[in-house]
Amino acid sequence: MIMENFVGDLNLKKYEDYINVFDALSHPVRIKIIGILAEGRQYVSELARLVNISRPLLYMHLKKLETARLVTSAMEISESGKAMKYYALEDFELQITKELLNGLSQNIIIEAPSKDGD
Amino acid sequence: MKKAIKKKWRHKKPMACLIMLICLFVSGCGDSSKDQIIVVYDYADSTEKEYDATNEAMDGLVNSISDFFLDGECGTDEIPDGALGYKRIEVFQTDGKASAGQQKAEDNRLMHIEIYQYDYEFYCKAGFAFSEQEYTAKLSDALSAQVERLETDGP
Repeated sequence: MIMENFVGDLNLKKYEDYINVFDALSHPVRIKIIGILAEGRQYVSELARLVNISRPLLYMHLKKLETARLVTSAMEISESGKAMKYYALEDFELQITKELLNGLSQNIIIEAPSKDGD
Repeated sequence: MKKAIKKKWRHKKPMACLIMLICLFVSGCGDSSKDQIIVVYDYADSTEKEYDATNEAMDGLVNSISDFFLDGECGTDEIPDGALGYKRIEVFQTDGKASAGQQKAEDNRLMHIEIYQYDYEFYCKAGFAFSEQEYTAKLSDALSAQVERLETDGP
């Protein structure tokens, strides 16, 4: 059975897309963010409080998740009239098999280290 | 009966203290105060000071400036000619594996902020580790007040 891995509206086919997703999932803080957003969207300020990290760090992690298209952001006007940004988790399906990694490995070229004096 | 209760409490007391200590230890784990160093250079007196996230004034200012630029609240004002450097703020992510001297390495820099003052107003230029874009804008009234409080109240 051929699996269709997808993130949001992106069907994962390209090597670069998979690497972005793997990179996004490689940090415990980003897994934590995904877990929180799986319960529902969150404003940045609330997300920082729930994850218990500084704002610059949070934005750094959110940027990685956005690059992988695992999360999306949008602005909305609060009742007080202030514009606030919230993040939401995209729907995704990711099955990692040896066939998938074998296919991705075809894109990888590891160059031999140069000899001394060259 | 009273003797039996006293004996039970004698055994439970150390356990209760141990459990309390464990709870205090666990609650301290993951303390975000250790996740960043904030270095502030004051152009007025050419002094540099360091803070971590336990300093609420500095942590709050860094958070507010981050939100200001990244939440889309700001405009794209240029820094006026003649604006004077006010404060430079650099935020570094702490690295548990690195030595104290290596904490403020370029690879650990999360954010770079330059605050300028011109005609009693504050302008800001900011850069983030995850983006090549440089942001410049005139600070909002609320953010300007927050910057001013650093002088009056101290960080």
